Amino acid sequence: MYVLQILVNGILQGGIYAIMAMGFSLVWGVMLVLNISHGALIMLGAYITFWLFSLFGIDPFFGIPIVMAIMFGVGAVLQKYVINYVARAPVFTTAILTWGLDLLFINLALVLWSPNYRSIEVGYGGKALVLGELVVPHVRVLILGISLLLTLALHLFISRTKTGRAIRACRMSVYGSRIVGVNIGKTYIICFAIAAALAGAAGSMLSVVQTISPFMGVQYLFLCFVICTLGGLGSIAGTLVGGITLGIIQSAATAILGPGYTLAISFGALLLILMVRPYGILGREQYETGI
Amino acid sequence: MKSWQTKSLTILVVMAGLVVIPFFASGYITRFLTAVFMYLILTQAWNLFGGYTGYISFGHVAFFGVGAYSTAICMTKLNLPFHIGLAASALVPTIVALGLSFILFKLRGHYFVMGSLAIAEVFREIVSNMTSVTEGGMGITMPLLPWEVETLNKVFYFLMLITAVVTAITVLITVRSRYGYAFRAIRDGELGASAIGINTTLYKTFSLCLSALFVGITGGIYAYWITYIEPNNVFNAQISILMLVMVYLGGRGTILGPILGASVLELLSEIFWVKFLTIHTAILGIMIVVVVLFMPGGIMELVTRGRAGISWQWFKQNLTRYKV
Repeated sequence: MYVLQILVNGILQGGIYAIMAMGFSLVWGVMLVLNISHGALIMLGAYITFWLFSLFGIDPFFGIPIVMAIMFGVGAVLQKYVINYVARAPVFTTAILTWGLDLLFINLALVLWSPNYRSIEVGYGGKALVLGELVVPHVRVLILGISLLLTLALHLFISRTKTGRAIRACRMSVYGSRIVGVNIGKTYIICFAIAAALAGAAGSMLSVVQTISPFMGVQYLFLCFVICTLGGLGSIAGTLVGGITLGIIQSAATAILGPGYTLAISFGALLLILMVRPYGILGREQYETGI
Repeated sequence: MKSWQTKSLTILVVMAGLVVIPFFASGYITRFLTAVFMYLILTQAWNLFGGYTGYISFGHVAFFGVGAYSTAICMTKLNLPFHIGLAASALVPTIVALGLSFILFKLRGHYFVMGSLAIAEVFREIVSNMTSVTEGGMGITMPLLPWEVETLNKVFYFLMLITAVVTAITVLITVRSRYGYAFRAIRDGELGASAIGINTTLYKTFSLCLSALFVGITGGIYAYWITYIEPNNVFNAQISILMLVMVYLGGRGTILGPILGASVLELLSEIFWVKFLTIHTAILGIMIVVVVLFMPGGIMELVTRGRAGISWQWFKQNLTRYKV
């Protein structure tokens, strides 16, 4: 029973992890840009949800579309006016640029909204489904459900629509897609905007299960990276699988070693997957970056 | 005068000035210059690894923290005097770097960047959790020296200055030697370098260990200077990014660049800290964005291009060079 609880906890945690990593995976996979400000985007999404909840009383889960729309705009502006200018640069340049943006966003949040911890209290927050000794919180199941829905929506977008095909083309070959007439700049803008929207959705869902502060996103950056590597770059289902895998690994590690070593375990998982199967669980060979 | 004579004379004059300043200037300026020297050491050491081998490390602060904690533990738990603590802060990070190189050099490119970022965080977590040895989040308070403030200011000023000079000379010698040749070969094409017979792993490890040595010593001096350390301020990612930004601002791949970058950024930081305390990180962020977009070669490139080379045209060229 105890093992089953660890498994359930891991899968539910994996739901949040998957949606957090989805945006990072999209940006990294298509543009080869390490978006270090991803944590800050998640934090922004959480704050927007918080303000929608406290000022207008909009429930966090119903606010997700609004948050996604706002973050879509933010992402599009960022990409168009800042990141597009370094999109062809080596990884060092883009990483340090996005780190600068990260510093900017966190400091703006500190100044605008103070470093106090905020939280969202919803009526159904504490309820859980109890099956014998197994405890399954309602909120987390809802989060997993929305994660799966968003993953499906993203998959349909990438595989069925014209813009989705353009994004896949950019991923395969930038020069080739330019030759057949894809507007790389616009495609990158839409790609980053979607990634920011997903980060916003992740922030919304996080805001229900943890306290909100300007520094809440920082810890998730490396986890997103590990999840993308675990699952395989260039594959949406891969990120989902990677998220759930990392959730289970972390859940087991917390149960055995205690909460202090989660980051070290995640790093160990990263090393393991890079040594055993560098293109990830659902990745394809030649699709990994930099190796 | 020949150019080497002008250069030596300038260096001599500058060094003489630096040696004399703490006896005439106020404590504030002495402490400010001590901080500048600290960042000089850090940037030089980072540049030795990141700038010359091309392995961009976002987590060098791990060695800083390990050095700081080595000195702190030697002096508080083991009650050893400062010079042994300092030796420990040089030795322990080097051994740690040696061990880390087995793990870290399995990663390349993007993975190395994030992996190095994570190493600093992992170390912070581990140090926070080993409360029996490191007092965890409560931090370690160092024993105070029984001297006056002014003498202390001067002591740490000269400690940092001497370490900075030693670091600069070591970096200069290493870069102009066989090792420097190997580093640059690794940076410009690792596969080609190993094809012509350079043992890349050996040289990368050597570079990392040498870099960690100097960063570690700085951490040790820092611990004794500030007299209180805790995981959040010696394993702070801010120190890592400052190292990077200073090298980038000054000019990558040059020797004078990191020195310029460290001085300019510390100066600006001090000015902004006083006037704009709440948004000074945001200003750092904006500065990073502007430097990366408009002058990726840093200040050294501005200096070498001279007045004739700088124009709006040139900035626009820099902006659109990597545009999509």
